[in-house]
Amino acid sequence: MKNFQNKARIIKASTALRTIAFAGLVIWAFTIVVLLGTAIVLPLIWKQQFHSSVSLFLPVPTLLFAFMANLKIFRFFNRLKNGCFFDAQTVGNLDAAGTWWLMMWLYQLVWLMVQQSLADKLDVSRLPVDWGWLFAGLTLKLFAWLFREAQGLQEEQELTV
Amino acid sequence: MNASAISPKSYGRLNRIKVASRIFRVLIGLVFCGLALGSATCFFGGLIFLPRGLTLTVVFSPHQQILFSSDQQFNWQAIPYEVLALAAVRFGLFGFCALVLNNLFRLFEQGTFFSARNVRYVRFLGYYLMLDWCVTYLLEAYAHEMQINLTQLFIGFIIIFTAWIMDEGRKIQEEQELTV
Repeated sequence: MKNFQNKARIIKASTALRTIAFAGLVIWAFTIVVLLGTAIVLPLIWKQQFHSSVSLFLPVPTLLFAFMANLKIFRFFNRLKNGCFFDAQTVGNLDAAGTWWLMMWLYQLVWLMVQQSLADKLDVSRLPVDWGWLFAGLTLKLFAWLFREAQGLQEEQELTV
Repeated sequence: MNASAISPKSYGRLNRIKVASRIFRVLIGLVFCGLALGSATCFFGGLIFLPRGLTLTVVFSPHQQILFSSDQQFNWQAIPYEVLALAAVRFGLFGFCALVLNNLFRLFEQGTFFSARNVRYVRFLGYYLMLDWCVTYLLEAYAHEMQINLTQLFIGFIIIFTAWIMDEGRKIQEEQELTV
C-alpha cells in the first residue's frame, strides 16, 4: 500500500513539474525568437554597426542551451509521469539535461569574456561567473549516475526468473 | 561466465561516483574549516593567527551583512538579539547540513547508493533548503527588505521529489537482495 502511495505521489508531482517545464519551454522559445528577431531586424532598420549586432547575437547560444536543458527536463518528467522511473530513456534525459546545463555554463564563460573584450575591459579574474549553474549541472549528472545504478538493478530484476 | 560479475562499464561508473564523492567530501571539509576559522575570527578578534588588518564580511542574509576586523573585538551588543538568534539558527542548520552531506557522500564512497539512510539524508537536504529559506526571509524582514524569491523553496521541493524516486530505487534493491 505504502509502495503504491509513493508511486502515485511521484506521478502526481511529475505531472505538475512537467507543466512547469512546458511553460519554461514556451518562454525560452519565445525569448529566442524575439532576440533573433531583434538581432536581425534592428540592424536592418537603423543600419547599426556590425559591433553592436555581434553583441546582440551573443546570448542566443545560452538561450539555445537553456532551451535544450529544459526540453530534456520536460521529457524526464514526462517519462516519470508515465510511471517509467528507471529506464534508459528516463535516465538518459536527466543525464543529457546535466550535459546541456554544463555546456550553458561553459558558454557563459566564453560570452562574458567576449563581452568584456568587446568593451576593452577583459579581466578574467573579475568575470561575474554564475557558479550556481555549474553546481546545478553537476548535481543533475550525479543524480543521473545514481539513477543509472537503479536502472541496472531494475534490469537485473526483470531478468530474474 | 560469471553472471554476477560487474561489467567494465558499470565498474567505471561506480569508480567515477566514488572519486566524485571523495572530492565532494574534501570540498565540504574545506568549506566547513573555512567557516569555523571565520567564526573564530569574528568571536575572538585579534587572538587568532591571521594577518593584521584582515576584514571579514559575514553575510547573515542578503541585506543583513556585518563587517568584522581581525584587529579589534567586535561589539556583539550592537546587533539586535533576534537577528543574532536567527543567524545562529541559520549557521547551525548549515553545519548540520554539511554533516549530512558528508555522511551521504561517505555512503556513496562506500558503494551504498540506495539505502534508507541515503533517502533520509537526501530528504533532509530538501527540508534544510526550505527551512533556510524561511529563516532568511525572517532575517530579511528585520532589515525591512522582503523580496519574495521562491527559487530556493522550489529547489528544496525538487530534492524531496528526488528522495521519493530514490526510495523507489531502494525498494528495487531490497527486493533484489531478497531474491534467491
